[in-house]
Amino acid sequence: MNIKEQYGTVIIELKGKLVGGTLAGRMNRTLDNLLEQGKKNVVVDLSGITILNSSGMGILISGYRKMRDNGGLLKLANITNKIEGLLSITKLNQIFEIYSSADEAAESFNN
Amino acid sequence: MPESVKNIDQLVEENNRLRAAVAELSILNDIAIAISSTQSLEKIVDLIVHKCVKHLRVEQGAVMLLNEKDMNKPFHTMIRKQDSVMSSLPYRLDAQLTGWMLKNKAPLLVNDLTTDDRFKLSPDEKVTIRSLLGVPLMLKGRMTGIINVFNKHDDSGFTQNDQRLLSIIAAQSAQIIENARLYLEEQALQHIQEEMRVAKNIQENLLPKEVPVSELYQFAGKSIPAKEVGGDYYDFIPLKDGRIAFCLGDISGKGIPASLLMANLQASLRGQAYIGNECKNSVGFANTILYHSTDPTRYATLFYAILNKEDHELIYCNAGHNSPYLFSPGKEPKRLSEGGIVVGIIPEYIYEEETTELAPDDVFILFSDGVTEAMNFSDQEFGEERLENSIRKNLHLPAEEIIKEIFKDVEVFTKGAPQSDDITMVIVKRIK
Repeated sequence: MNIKEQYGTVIIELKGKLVGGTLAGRMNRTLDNLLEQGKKNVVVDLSGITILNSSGMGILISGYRKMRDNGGLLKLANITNKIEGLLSITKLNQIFEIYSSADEAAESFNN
Repeated sequence: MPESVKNIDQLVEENNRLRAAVAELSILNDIAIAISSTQSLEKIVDLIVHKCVKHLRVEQGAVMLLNEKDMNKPFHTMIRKQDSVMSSLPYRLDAQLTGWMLKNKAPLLVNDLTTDDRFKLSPDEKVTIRSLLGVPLMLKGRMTGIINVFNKHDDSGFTQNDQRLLSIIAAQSAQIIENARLYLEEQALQHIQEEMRVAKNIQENLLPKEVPVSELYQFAGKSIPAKEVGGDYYDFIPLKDGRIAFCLGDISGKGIPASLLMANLQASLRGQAYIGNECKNSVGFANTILYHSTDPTRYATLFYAILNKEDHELIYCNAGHNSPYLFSPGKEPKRLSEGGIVVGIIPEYIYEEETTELAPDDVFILFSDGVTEAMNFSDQEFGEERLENSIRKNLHLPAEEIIKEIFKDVEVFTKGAPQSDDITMVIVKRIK
């Protein structure tokens, strides 16, 4: 997990397999820390994700809910075709805003 | 001194040494016999402590076993046997003692704790320990625990002989304690496995034992969990008005957590069917129930449908589930995707439903992603194309046979690669 900031937005880059496990706890703590610092706009960059299963999707949903419930937003960037398919089947594309690059997602917060 | 007196002194000394050696051997023998009479870890440790307290003439003894899983709190104190009322060690001293043993892995003999510079006691700590002797339990170079004894009754304190004796006791006990510990772990594991078998049985009983029978339709369903229990489930529920509700749900994750939520989802849907609630409202209700009874990472994909066997109308609601196929002779298969988002994440979500019709020889195929995402050793997925081909060549078969053949194709494709997700399928075929 790599975290950087751009245009006042936090970009979380995830790598490898997004399949639950310890990542759920780490993501939760990371978002809690950001909220404590008053940072409410988050982009999750999925370009480095090779596998995403239902538990991994659960982590993204949980992150989305946490930010939304605290007056913020969590957007997705750089999703693969496979992940796009999964978001489409589950109709989770109704809640996630999806951008083709992290830059574009970060900028969207300023519009 | 005359030679004969010298000889007598030597004889007496030799005699004392022999007597001490015999006493020592008898103590060791006593302990060896005692601890070989039981397999219980607690009893073995209790016996060792009891015998040490008695033979070394001390107030208290303890065996601590190393817990390698939690190095922040490495020692699990098994037992403290005492022959006088004594408060337990103050936490700081306890930590210092175990810390020293972990670092040095050697015997520790302290006859005046207050002046020993290896330990720092704050002045306000009331320590009732005057002297102590600790030796590590070592097994193939690995430290597995400590035997400690405290407060020698004699004022002279612990001797090198005491240290030697306790070291021998530790050496002969280490393997027996380890065996008992492993036996205990194995028993615990067997207990868990037994519970898993029971859970598997309970879950299998939750799936419908028989499918509805009709002259116009064939119904079939099958689920193969990846682990003992799974998060997939299907159901056929005859409604009071003669219609048949059926569904397939897939809880995120797998194993026990998923199976618990599966039972919850199934119960709430059966309840809805029982009171005759309509399709999309049943899904909406299950969504709200699941939302309130799960942590935010959990959700389920769910396809729920109600079939009227008289007018062949099928009302369905697809909550984020892989779109099922409706194969009609001579037509491209239709995918049934109308509904809404996965259940369990947005409370009060308004679901849509769609009505379609089943014509004679139509085959409706509902599946979980474990079917299309079944992987072979080259990390290739079975995929929708292979699934469609498999369905097409088997459409002429009875519903139950179609599932069997498709599962066979999945098995041939994966060639024994480990099944990573639950595989479930429901088929409804109109035969007249």
